[in-house]
Amino acid sequence: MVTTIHRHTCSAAAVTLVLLFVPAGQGQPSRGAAAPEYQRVRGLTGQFTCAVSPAVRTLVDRWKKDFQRMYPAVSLKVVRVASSSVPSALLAGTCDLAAMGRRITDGEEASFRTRFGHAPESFSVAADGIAVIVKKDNPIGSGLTLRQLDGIFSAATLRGGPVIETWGDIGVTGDWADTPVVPMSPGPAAGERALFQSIVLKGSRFRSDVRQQRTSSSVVQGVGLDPGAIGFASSLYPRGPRVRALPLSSSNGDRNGPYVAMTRKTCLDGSYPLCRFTYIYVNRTPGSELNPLTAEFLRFVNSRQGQRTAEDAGYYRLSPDLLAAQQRRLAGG
Amino acid sequence: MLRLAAMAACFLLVGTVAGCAIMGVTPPATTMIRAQPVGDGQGITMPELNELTNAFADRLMTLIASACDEVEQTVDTAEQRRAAHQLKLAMTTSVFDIVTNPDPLTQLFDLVLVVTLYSQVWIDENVAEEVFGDSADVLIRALRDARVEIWDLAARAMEPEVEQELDQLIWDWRRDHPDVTFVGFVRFDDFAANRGKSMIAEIRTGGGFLAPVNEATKAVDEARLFAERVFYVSKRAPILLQWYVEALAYELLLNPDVVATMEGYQAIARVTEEIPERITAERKAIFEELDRRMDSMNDVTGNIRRTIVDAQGLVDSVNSALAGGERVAAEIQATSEALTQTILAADRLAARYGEQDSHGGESGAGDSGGAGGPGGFDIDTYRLAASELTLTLRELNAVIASTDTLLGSASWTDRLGEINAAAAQRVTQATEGSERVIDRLFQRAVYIVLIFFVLLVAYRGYATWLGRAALTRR
Repeated sequence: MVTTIHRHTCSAAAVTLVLLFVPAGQGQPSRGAAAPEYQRVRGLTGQFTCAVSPAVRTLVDRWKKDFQRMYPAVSLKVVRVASSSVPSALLAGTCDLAAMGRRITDGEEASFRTRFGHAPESFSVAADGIAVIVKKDNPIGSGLTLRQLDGIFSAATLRGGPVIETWGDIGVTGDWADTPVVPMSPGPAAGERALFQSIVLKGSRFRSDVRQQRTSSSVVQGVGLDPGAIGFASSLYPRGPRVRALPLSSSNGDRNGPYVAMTRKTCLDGSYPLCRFTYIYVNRTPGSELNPLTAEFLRFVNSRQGQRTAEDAGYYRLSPDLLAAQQRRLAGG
Repeated sequence: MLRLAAMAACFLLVGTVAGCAIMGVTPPATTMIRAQPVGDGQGITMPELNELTNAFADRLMTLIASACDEVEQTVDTAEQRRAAHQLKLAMTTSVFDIVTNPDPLTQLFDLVLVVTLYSQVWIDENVAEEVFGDSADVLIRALRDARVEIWDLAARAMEPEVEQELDQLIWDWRRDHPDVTFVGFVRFDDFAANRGKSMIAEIRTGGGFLAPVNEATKAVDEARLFAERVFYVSKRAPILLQWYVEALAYELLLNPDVVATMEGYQAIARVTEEIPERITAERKAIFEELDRRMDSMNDVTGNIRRTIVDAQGLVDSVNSALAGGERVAAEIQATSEALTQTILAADRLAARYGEQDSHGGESGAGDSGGAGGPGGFDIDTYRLAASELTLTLRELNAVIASTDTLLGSASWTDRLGEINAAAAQRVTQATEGSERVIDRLFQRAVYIVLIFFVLLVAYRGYATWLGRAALTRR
């Protein structure tokens, strides 16, 4: 990898000045703070590689396109591998960056530590929520609790609630009371299924009558066509006029609420319970600097421009505080 | 004109299909496709995949054609029928175009892409309901079934993560192109900055469940696939051609010039349809008027006849009255004469009584009352009455004589003749008037029919001119 960097002194000073006044990184979006602006550097050339899981490839491809437009002499090679193989690619040293839609597991981290003596460094680069959707004219009122969702989707109902068979079991009255609840989920390869299983079902199995769709967008469409259906899909998939997303409550007791609608704000501040981040991992020895191409790419991703690109791809942009903190990490080594 | 268009479409289609079949990109000869165990541990071979995609194309055509035909039958407007027909034609043409690609894997990806995009646009974005209203249900079900089936088919060649990636890639394209509704000819070759090509290449080189290619039989397989494509398309081309011709007819019917001409034709047709009703109504009105006038004439004639009868009765009664009067007069005269005799006799008798009174003094007879002065009989009173009676009888005789003279006079006979003649003349005039009205009515009907045929000839001439103009423009 051949790299040459001639950075604008003024730009570096400005970035440093900004970073000095940015508070410590948190997930919550702060009011009034602006995401750091990316300043193009001169003389950046070379080639680097990013291993991506299929779920985040679209996003990384968009960043690649923007980045290479700014730096025509830079080549970013995006290699798609199975999500389980992304950490392995970083571990094997076949990539400079590893992008995936989940955190690495403890086992994967342990393997990394064993080989390199330190954990891979992670950067949050985008976020999306998992919407629980029903048909547009479903009369369910304020929302659902995680316990009710557990009763609809789980075979074991570890949250302690009853098994829910009809919409009347959730409190819907009238004609809908006897309408069977038809749970739908995306296939096992979908990241949102694993997250839903982990958070809502507490790791238990899905009920056998959950209608498994091939893809997440098929869940959105299927729910829109079946009056009794309920499903979940990433916020990346436009929901259209046939379905609506339900507010959720993390409450697990007898008293329900408060119900929180899925928005960027509630996702980033954690009040909406089904939210996830996309990560890029790098192999950096603590105290050392990243290679310039990787660092510049991460700086771009954590900038206002990079986050706008993520937003164009359907993701929630991260909070300026978090972005600034990550920029500081990049600059400080 | 339709025949010409059909022939042109036929040549175009055959040319296109031949081009697709002959000029398509064939898989690299050195490509090795790694076997992936699926279910029974066997991967799917390219010829098998080709058969599956072709079978799906047939099912999709049946599914969509049935749905669109049903929509065409239930919607209200010509625009909706055209939209349903265009959807059927565009989707089927697109699918046939895809399955004539020489690479079955590209066929599969393109089928997934096109069917998913169609279902997104027409179902998720509500276009079907916006265009077809309540009639859209059957189309929505068909598109949903097609989507489920093609993804099931894709699962036989792709790993689940690739399915998710493909799904996300399609949505990503849709996010960047939200206004594109004509999605039938979006292809993976030029999809998302060549990412489509790279995905296909990755699956071909080990990212899916495809069986390894046997190099020894590869050329034979390709030749067989080529022949199958030719037969496949040639068998289905006539149906597609028929739909193209129908689409042309829809387009022609909704062309503004043709619409204007058709509106004129429809106006003529409406008038023509109304002619029998108008004739019937006018005929009915004429006959009703005629009947009304005939009734009136009949009344007049009846009155005249009754008057004549009455007059005759009057004459008869006058005659009988005259006869009776003569008898009465004779009887009265006889009575009068008898009365006169009686009076004379009484006078004589009274004279004799007067002589007796002047000789014999007063008697009680004077108290018995009479026409004369008190106490006596006055013959003058009775004479005066007899004179008046005689005078009356003379006047009665004069009346009878004058009536008899009237009825027997020539002027009375002439007057009766005039009345009869006038009645006969009115009846004749009414008959002639009604005949003239009916003649005029049939003349109008003939004129209208002539005008209709003249306009029809003009329309045919204009339509021919339009056709020639269209051919000239092409």
